[in-house]
Amino acid sequence: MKLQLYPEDILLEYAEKAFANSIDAAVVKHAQYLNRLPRMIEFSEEFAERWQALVKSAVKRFVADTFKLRPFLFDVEGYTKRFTSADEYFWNSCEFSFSQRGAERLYELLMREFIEEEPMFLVATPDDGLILSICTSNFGRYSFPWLCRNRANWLTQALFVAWQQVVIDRISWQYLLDNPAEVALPLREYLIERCADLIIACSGHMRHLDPSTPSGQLVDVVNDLREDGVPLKVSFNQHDFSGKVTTVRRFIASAEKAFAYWSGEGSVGLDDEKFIRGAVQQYRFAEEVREFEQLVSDYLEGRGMEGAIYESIIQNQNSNRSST
Amino acid sequence: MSRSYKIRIPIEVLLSNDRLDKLGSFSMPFDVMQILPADQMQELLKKSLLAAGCSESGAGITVPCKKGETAIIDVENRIIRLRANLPKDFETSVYEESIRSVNAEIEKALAEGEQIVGRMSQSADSLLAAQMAAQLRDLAMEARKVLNAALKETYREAIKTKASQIGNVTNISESSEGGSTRIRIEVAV
Repeated sequence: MKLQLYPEDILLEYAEKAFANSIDAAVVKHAQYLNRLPRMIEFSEEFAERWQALVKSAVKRFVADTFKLRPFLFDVEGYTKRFTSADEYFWNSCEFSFSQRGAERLYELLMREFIEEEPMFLVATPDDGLILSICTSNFGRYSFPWLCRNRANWLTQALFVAWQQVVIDRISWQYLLDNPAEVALPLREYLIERCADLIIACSGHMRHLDPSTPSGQLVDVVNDLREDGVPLKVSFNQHDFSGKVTTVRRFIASAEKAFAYWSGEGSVGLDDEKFIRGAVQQYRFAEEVREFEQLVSDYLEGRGMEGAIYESIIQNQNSNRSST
Repeated sequence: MSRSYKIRIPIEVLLSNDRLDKLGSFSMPFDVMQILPADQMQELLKKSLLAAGCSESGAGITVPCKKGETAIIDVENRIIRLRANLPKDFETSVYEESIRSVNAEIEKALAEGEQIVGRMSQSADSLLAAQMAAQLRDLAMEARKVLNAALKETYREAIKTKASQIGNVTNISESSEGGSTRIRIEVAV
């Protein structure tokens, strides 16, 4: 029996399965013949059309799954309005650019058993990067400086903010807070929400710190307080308490500066600064910061009490009178 | 070259009972806010401690601890009495040629009920002091944690009782933020 294999069809089948269940679970029908496929292929025009249709619908589905009907802020002729992914305006506000490079990188992933080199993930547009991240369930390959330099649209950036795991001393999207002018209006409110969630996660971590064992407490905290949102997973990789607190305080300072910029000289329209101020209040950013600082001082007080008790014990050991 | 051997020396040969008592025990005072008269506050605190898993003994309220350790809360005198587990022996290294004389010294001290004086007992004292200080500190922190939770419960009950003396309690709400708890009681007078 003669079997004709079309690499483009196999790639599309692979992409469909990868979008649905990640590449680890994506097994194509003719997997046993993959070694007979060419290492590189030139895509046909017909494939390009089918590819565009596939990735567009996959990304739309992914956006809906990620943000559900969460409203975002938009500037409409100088006035701020809210739209969700169910609104046309939402989609018209951003343009996706899917190139054949995304398909090439996915083909490299499909053929990774037979190609010795790692796919060149950075040879892609930010939106190609997005689909590769969705397929591989790994959003950590693309940094925010890279995304911004390559003009990722606000929604692509928002998806990376939502799905990138955070390591406390390398908060990837802090880049956006440090460069607030580069942040589009719809992303601003979402960043405020995410900043508050991060502080809540830091407070959660702080609550579990034991003053008697100040080192060796490296844990991940998952903040899944928002039912409809993507849980924020924060890894606390720093051993020393003061280093951890300094890092969080630096983040808070960045966030506060960005919020001040967005509600001041960096406002986009006539009234968006009111929405930004409202969002800071709605997500209780200042309250969460206060709570965090309270926990820091409670922790230090606990450590202080421990130190005082220890000192009294030593004094008692060295005194001549009876201790009891 | 001389060989050295590890030997175990009964601790009472190196340190006196008074010294051992000092190293293995510690007392610390605590405060109780007098929201209600002292005897009522004591009763409430006792109740809270017993509800938290402590047990009553002749000396006071005993906090559950590791084997060999005791933490007793004397509610009336507002003191926590702690006692840590003292080791029975002290391990040290002795050179081959000194073993006989050291053993003789130990036997003599045991027979006469006295302590060996010298570098060995000084070293045992400083090592044991550091070990016991850390052990007592951890025990104190554990006992403090139990006491603090019981005090919080005591204050909550005392405030409610106090409020009910003023008038009819119509609403009670509590909120916690950071390390502080706020109790709001509405009273119809």
